[in-house]
Amino acid sequence: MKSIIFQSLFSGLFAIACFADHPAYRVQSIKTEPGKDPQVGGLDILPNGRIAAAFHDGEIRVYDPESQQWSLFAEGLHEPLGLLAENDNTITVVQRPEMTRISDTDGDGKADLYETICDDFGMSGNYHEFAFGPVKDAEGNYFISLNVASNGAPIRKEIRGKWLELGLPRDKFYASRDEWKDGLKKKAGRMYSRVPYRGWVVKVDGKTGEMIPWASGLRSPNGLAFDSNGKLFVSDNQGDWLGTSKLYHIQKDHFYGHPASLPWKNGYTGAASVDLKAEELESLRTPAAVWFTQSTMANSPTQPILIPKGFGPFEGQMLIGEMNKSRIIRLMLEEVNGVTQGACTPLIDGNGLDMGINRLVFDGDANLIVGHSHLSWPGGEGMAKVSFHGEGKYQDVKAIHVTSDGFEIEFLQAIEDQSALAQIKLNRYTFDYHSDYGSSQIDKEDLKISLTPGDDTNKRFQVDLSVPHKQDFCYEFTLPMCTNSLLCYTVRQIPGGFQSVESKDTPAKNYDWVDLLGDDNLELWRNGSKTSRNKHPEVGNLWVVRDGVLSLDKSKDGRGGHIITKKDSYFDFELKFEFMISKEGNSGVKYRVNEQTVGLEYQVYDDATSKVPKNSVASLYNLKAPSADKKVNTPGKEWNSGRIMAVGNSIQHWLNGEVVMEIEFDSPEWKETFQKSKYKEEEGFARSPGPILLQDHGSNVKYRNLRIREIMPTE
Amino acid sequence: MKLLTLCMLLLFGWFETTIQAETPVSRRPITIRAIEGLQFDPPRVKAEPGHKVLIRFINRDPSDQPHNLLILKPGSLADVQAASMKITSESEKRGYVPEHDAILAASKLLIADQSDEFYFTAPEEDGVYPFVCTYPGHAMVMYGAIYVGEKWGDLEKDPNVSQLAKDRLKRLSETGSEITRPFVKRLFIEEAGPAAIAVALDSDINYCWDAGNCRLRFAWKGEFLKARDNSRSNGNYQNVVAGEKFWDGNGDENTFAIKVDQSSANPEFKGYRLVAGIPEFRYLVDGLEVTEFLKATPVGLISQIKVKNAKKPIHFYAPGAVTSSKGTRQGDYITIAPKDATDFQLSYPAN
Repeated sequence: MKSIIFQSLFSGLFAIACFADHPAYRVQSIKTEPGKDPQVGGLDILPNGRIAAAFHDGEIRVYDPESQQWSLFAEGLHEPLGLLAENDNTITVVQRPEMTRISDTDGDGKADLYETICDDFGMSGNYHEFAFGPVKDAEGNYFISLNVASNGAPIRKEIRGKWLELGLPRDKFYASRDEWKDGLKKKAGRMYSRVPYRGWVVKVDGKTGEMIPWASGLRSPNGLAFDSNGKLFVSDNQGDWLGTSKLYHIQKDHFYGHPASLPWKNGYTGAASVDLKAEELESLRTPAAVWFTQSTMANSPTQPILIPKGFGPFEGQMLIGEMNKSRIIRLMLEEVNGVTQGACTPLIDGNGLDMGINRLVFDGDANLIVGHSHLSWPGGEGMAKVSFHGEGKYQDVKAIHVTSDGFEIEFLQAIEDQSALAQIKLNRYTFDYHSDYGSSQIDKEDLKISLTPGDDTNKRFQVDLSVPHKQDFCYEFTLPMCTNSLLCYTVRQIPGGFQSVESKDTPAKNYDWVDLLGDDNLELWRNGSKTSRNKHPEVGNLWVVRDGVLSLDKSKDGRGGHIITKKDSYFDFELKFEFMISKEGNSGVKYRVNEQTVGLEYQVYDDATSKVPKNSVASLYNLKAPSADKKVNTPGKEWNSGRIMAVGNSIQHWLNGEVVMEIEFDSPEWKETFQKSKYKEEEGFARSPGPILLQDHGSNVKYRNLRIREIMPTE
Repeated sequence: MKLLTLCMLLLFGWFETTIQAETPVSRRPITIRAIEGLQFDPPRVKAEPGHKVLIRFINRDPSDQPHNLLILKPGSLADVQAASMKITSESEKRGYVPEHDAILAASKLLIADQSDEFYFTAPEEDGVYPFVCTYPGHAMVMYGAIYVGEKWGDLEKDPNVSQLAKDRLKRLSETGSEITRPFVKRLFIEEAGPAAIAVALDSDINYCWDAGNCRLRFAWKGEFLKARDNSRSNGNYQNVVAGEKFWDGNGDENTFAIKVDQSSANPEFKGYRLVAGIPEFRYLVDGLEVTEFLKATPVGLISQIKVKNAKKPIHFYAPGAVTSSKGTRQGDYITIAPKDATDFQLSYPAN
């Protein structure tokens, strides 16, 4: 009641927030064909300059910008959500069931040939199994992305492709609507992938049409693009397992975090995806290059696109569309320590643009053609053209780079009045990785910053944080002097790296064998000596690898020391190696070690030196002796094969083809032996992942065929 | 006196703030467009009582007409329409918003491609709150309504929606049946696999061919598909045939059209070519290339099938009253000798 009174009282107040025109970009609408569905699923420019657009009604229509007329090219498609012009007469389109090459072979302007290039992915009949793309790489291969199904609906009785027999049985998926709503849907998983390669990016061979599974862990990847360096980027939408929307740098065989797709990984033996836990998945996933903070930056990012010359001062950067706002976002990416990451900021925000910015393409004159859509969600309709006229001088961030203690920001225009810099605000927060839908901003804090000029142009400034950087945090700037005052940078890496071993950003596990001495180099290794590693991070020169054999020769002058793998996240793994210990020599292969290099050790030793069984070769050093009937080859003359299996609590040492030592963490045996060991005072002994360490114990030693394979804990 | 008013305003202002802080906010904004033909799209929207909702108003009218959007108290549409006719020297300055106490909120006057957004707190009281454009000459035809806590009925009979908008939506909903035969549409359709293709031919003959298992699924006579407006659909909808089925192959996803000798290999769909608008499907079975071209006759459907280089007998799945130009029937299959497989016809009578 009260609100009615107040509504009436203030009824004279008009709404104020009318979007102003952008000072440098102009938005004009492009009239779509009257009476036809104006929702755009795909856009490209034909070589003849015409715009090809795929629409929600299943048609591909071509627009001639000169005559401003539309003509029908193809029809009858099933939810086309991307197209690529091959030439004036041929268009490759991704529609729900397949990737199709559509051609006009008789030159009448209308397609007459629909060739199925790839339909090797599955369809359960669930509405959410959209298919997106294609984009084409430099070699002419295509990449497409496949949505997972939503438990908002079950599947259909008939499917296409193989059914995944893991989790809720197939017949439960087309039970009655009530049964579905009353509980089955929960067992299916919020988003599910029960037919092949749902939640994957797949490559389609440009010549044969063969489908090659490329990367997994996607949820709703409505947009793919290559950058100027040939890196593939794919967007994904906030939801279960996605705390906020993301942009991924897609690399072969990487997993990006949504587990529904994981069982389609070759050789997968783990649990059904609904039973997987965030803790298990955390270390498997490759984090996003960019987070789009929900509601602040974007709710549903769509297609990225590379900015060409002529569209303002941002050539080489990328743009990305957004469904839920009248916003086109600009990306500023960089590579830090081999990780692609960066910032996002609006470019066009309102400015007369409709919502539902689904597809983007640049025409030959560097005008950005925008296709809108909504389907059953919030969005928009029709098409627009955004062009750069550059008439108005406007301020925005041109580029931003992370530095070891802050950021370097480059503005478009000089900032003459530097008191304005004091108005810049910065906060940071991160997001949870969990099966729940979305995440709030967590560990949020305002940061005090100081800005100093980076040069004498008054355009570049160093932003120094008063506190150290935090890994996997989103840094949100408010820049009042800019047309677009909001800018977010996703920090994964900083120059020089993060020192903390507690980093969330452990590199993706590699389930294939990794040759730790590959190509006769020690690139995977660094100095692991407690005393010298900070001064000399590189491997000491007494360690030499040649013809596949790694030798430590202590008879020479130079620097030795323990060496450790640069990768320090090994916990569940299988390590195979061969060793030749010198006469009366001592070395060892240590694992699950901490910063002080304390951890488990496979003893490499000449047993002639000492008679203590629990310190003998192949023992779990100082904890458990190997079996007495172990077969040992002659020190200084013969090679021995060693193998370590470390999976969860279970530890095995193998010697020359046989298990010689086995122990279970936390078993009564473990507790007893641990209490008797020299490690009994070590807190958290061997409980954390760590690097693999090869010991310099003052003796000569040789290793070869040193290979490691990480293991899923469920294997 | 003035001071007192000011105090009261401040006090009310304070209350307003307090109340706003407690007002629940709708997660989804409402977007309303002004579109070609003096219409709002959508012409009716829903809001939760007592919820604050962001209204986005966009002028998408390509005919260069300015538009505004005013939200009114229930039952006041006619009054405000009348008030909008009185143009004074002040009108332009006011963005053509008439002076009327039934106006709860108003956008700016927008020219083509401008947009405006503002918050509207839906009253606690259920009701139908009209919205209208009051640019001179528009109010009588350009209106719609916000349904606050109330259900809406059949659009055709909704007095709160303008006739122009009703006509447009009716046209949209009928587009499903407005096809020019022959017509091909890939879609979800009942009783077929998810990669189905529906085809409308002459003589009101229609069929569904399944690209998932490369076979004719069923055929029907009459209208093509039941009409439906798919413009706001996410694709979940299963289309329904509009006529009577005269042949149904039944079976399931593992029923394939062709068995070569005794093996039943999964066929591989390769697409189709349009011959005068009619699709000729192409697929591979056991390395053999097959084309299938279905034509309508006044009495049913004729399928012309060509299997290249068959070395063994072909068994073609054709249950029911199907007759073949070649071969002999064995149960649900017609067995065709390799030399005859290069070109044969099946007839599906439509009774």
